Amino acid sequence: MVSEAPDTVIELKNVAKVFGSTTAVRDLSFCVPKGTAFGLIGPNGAGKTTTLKMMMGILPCTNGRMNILGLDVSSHPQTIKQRLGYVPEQNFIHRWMRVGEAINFCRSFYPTWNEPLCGEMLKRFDLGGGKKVRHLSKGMLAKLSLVLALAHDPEVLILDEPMGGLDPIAREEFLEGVMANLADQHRTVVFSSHLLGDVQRMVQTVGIIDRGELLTLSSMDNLLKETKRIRGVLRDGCQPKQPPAHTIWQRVQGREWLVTVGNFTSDLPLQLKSTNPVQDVEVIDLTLEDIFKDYIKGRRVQR
Amino acid sequence: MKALLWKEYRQNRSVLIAGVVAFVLPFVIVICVELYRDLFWSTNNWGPQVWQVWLEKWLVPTMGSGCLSLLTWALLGGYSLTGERYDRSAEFLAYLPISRRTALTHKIIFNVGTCLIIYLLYRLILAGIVAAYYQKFSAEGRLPVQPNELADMIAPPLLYMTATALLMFCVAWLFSSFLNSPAIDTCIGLASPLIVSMGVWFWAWVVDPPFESARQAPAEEWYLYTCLILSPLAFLIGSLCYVRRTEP
Repeated sequence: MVSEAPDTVIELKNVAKVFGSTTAVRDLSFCVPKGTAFGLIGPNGAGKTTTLKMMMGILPCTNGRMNILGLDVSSHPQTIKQRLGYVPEQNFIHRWMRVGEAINFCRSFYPTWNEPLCGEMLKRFDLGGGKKVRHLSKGMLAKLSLVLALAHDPEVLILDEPMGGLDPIAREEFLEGVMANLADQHRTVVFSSHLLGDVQRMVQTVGIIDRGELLTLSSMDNLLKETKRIRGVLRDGCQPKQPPAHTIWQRVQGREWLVTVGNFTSDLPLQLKSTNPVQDVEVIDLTLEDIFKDYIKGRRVQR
Repeated sequence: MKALLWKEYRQNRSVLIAGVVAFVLPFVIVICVELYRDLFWSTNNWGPQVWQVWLEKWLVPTMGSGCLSLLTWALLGGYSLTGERYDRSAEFLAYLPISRRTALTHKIIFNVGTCLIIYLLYRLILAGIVAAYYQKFSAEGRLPVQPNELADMIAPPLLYMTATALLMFCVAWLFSSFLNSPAIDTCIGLASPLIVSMGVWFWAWVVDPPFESARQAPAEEWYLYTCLILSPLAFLIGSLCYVRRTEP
């Protein structure tokens, strides 16, 4: 099945995944254009890993349609895996293998294996071929995992919380390895991580997911530009009357009214003043981490 | 693909080492006992029944080796599919472009091939002992056990041993397709001949007492038939479960 937009590499349409009585992913739809980096962020148990595993063809969708590189994942899992690279949160490469053996083993499944790139990455990460996988530190294992995911020149790279538990140095080296490969503009990257500073640094588009549902999907620049927190000082004994449209989260504590909005415009503070008993208004810029927290808190309050 | 066969070998190397030890151990014990007797007792005088002692001396460890090899069959069956799930390396394999059918084919080639090698090696040793026996004693002009008698002596236990080994491997294989502990699969495989023989005994003596006379076959033969029916069935169901399984 060919995807609709020619430059779309990943296309999810109403994808759902149910495990027994638990719905892990519900009605998830988004597209990732070719050559972009897409970040999927969410709290633990939000359905990120399930979504990424469905993309890899490891888990079948309960409902919906998932196309990767123009191919239906459920009908062409092996063809798609040939063209994808995947770095999981925990890598379970056979512990008895040596680094060289793991590389030789994986090489045999990919006709597009790029030997110079593999050698270059091993050198960059100081990964000796004779080391046993069981003796590698967590950081080294993550790096080996990245080498195995990139050495066959995949068109799509999926990173599923690959830096969890890594020290800052190992994380930096890992990210540098990814960034060096991102220079190739043909490669599409899907990145899931709890380290939102890294996500903000790497991706162009971000999706926030909670309890299997996509809360927002936007380009990183737009999200940071349009999502702002407004701090209003309420008049004595007054409560907010009319929260602005697209309120993500709000909190009233004493006279302080904090409200995070998703479609900030320069005239919004004045509007807020005119429609609510507010004395002073201050606009606060947010980081991706703040935005993420507000989306999740706002959703929890709604529920 | 050679890589998958190599992976199967390395994954099961400890099982294979255990299998070699189990195979060789009875012979090593006999050789050690003989050396001990030669060195410290200096006696090679076995009396007039020298042929019988010679035959027993080598047939007993051969049969012992065969019985211990059953353990290898059960271990191979139990570890074949669960081993990777147990150490979670099945997840790593799931990210690679290897279809379940391909993985299964290589597992079958490796496991069935290994079992076949064990079996053929065992038959070869048995044949070697029988040949040595005839060469040694026919040259001396005394051959109390004729070839057909010896075949009657060896063939039935060999047949039951083969059927039991097959049952152990296939039952362990079946359970390893959906359980997560190789130890449990292997134990179920090892217990399966006991369960089947108890079932046959229960049927023959409790449910249907005229069982043997009505069917003109002893219960042992029914054990054999049950093994031969259950084994391919268990193997087939186990293989299907593995291929159709959603999770790695």
